[in-house]
Amino acid sequence: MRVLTRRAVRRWAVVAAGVGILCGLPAVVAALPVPGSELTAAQLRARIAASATVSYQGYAQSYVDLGLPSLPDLGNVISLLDGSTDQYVWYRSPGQWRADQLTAAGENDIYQTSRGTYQWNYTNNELTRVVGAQPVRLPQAPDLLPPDLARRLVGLASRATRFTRLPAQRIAGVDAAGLRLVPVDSASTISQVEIWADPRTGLPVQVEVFGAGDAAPLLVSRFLDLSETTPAAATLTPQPGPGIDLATTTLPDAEGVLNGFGPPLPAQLGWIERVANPAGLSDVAAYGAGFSRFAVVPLPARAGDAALSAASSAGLTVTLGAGTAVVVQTPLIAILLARSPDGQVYLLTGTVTASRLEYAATQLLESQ
Amino acid sequence: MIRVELVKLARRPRSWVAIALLCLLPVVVAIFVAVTHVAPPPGQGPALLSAVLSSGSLFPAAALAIVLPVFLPISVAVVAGDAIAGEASSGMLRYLLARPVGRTRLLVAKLVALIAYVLVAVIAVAVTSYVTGILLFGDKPPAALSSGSVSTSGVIANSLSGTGMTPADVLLRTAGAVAFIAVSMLGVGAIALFLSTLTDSSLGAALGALAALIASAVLVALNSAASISPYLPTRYWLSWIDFFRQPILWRDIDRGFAIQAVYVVVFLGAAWANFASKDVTS
Repeated sequence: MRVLTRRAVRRWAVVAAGVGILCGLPAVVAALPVPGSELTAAQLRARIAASATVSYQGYAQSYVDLGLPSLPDLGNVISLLDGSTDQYVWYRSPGQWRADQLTAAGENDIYQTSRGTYQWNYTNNELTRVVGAQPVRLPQAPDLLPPDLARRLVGLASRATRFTRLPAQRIAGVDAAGLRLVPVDSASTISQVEIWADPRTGLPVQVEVFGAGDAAPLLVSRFLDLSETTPAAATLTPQPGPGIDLATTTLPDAEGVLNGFGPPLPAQLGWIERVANPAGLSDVAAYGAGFSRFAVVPLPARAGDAALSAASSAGLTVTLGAGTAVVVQTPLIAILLARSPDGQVYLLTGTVTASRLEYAATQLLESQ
Repeated sequence: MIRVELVKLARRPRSWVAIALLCLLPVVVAIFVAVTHVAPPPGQGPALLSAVLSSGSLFPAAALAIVLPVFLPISVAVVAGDAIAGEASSGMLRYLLARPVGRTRLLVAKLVALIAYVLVAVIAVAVTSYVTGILLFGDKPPAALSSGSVSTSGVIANSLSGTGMTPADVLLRTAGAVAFIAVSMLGVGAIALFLSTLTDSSLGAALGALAALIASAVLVALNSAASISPYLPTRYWLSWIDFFRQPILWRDIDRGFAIQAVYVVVFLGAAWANFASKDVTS
């Protein structure tokens, strides 16, 4: 049997102490007291809502676990809402920013400049200038950045939403003040939203969205590295190298694409009121209030059939008075595809329960 | 002592055979890509391999991506695992220590030899692949693919962000990647060197280090292990690619250097504590 001498014990003690210090260092740093903020919930909410003018640059990571089924032509959105997304962002103002979605061996970048939006796709070796306005669009990676997501959620809150303060946390080097939003509508799948923001500037640094009955958040977006400094202008301008394909995409007239597939949508679905109408779009509408708001979109015949077919394998088929529907309920988002007796397919989706969408779809089909 | 170890390493044929094999694999890949003109699509396969068809100057980076996941760690683990255990299994360790040589000095000499091996291996892969890349693919600017393409003088390759890189840019970024990968391999070497002080079996020490790396790779890929992921040895290995973004993203590169430094310090400390107190009987 090997007997440790006193000198050997001393050597191992030195190593063990070093390992202990190195292992304990992150915990010690995390345990350092974080100075709290005197701001009230209303003041912090106002600062967060007004933080769009704060310049910053940093590395953000978001994780979403919605368990969405694969739907035709929505591969990018599904991967965004079901997995981890790493982004580096340089932000000067709402009209001048750049967000790089990083992958292990490439990146997809979006530049917002005074001359328009540019999209760099490493896989296609292509820089695309996007011309035209987008009154409605699918989610894209920058929507998951903590500042954008937090401002969107704070903007969604209704008068009935309860705002309370949370203890401060140190996030990405920021002594962040916490704000909790609790929707009061039981039809919302969101039970609460927790936002941490720099109390000085209001810049959100972490967002957590909880589903009903879930102890762990279903959506987490946070900065891992952040500097509230103005990024260099050169970083925000696309500078394509030789051999890069340059393309220009003119966005189709949204009114022409999305309108005209069915009768105009009603002002009310039962007792649920229509609340928003994107510019020029009479056939796309949002209904409801606060976090239980949902969108209604009539789909073109071929896209509607393909979506119904794909959703059928993952969802539940239900009969709705005059028509049929397929319902997909995830912990945070419900999707309902309803077919009217004349074959028109409607997409209803939002952070609401499936039963709320079924009620709305029943009312919609009866009104058509 | 250090000189003796360096000479011993240099005179050992298997050191050069291992380095030659490391250099050979990227050359074989380059020949296939050059002959068939079929490279993995951008974003798939070894990083930057898709770009070498248009610029051979990026092939050193692609070559490092080819050997980094498996072959480079294996060769480093074998050399480091053999450092002390090899001497013990051949019966030389007793005689080595019978000379007026401190055990700590011997360990330092072994470490310096290991660092030299790692540097020579990584630089050899970079240099041979640069020569191969230039010979097979050239270093002209990427060709315009369509009438809408941009032409920029003085640029020989494009970054992952689509911006042009001058020869000086490519050289500096490749040098950064070489340094990063060399330091990453030192972490593996330190683990294998520690295990080498625990056993008389070189193979056991090398396999132990590789097992630690495989376990790390499995945990890094596991979402539920995200809380410990930043402290795992392989977490930042692939971050060398950030040298080829514009601007260079230093966050993961800095953390990669730091975590490898921690592993080197901890495992060398453990190797020193064990070896300095060990009963050497063989």
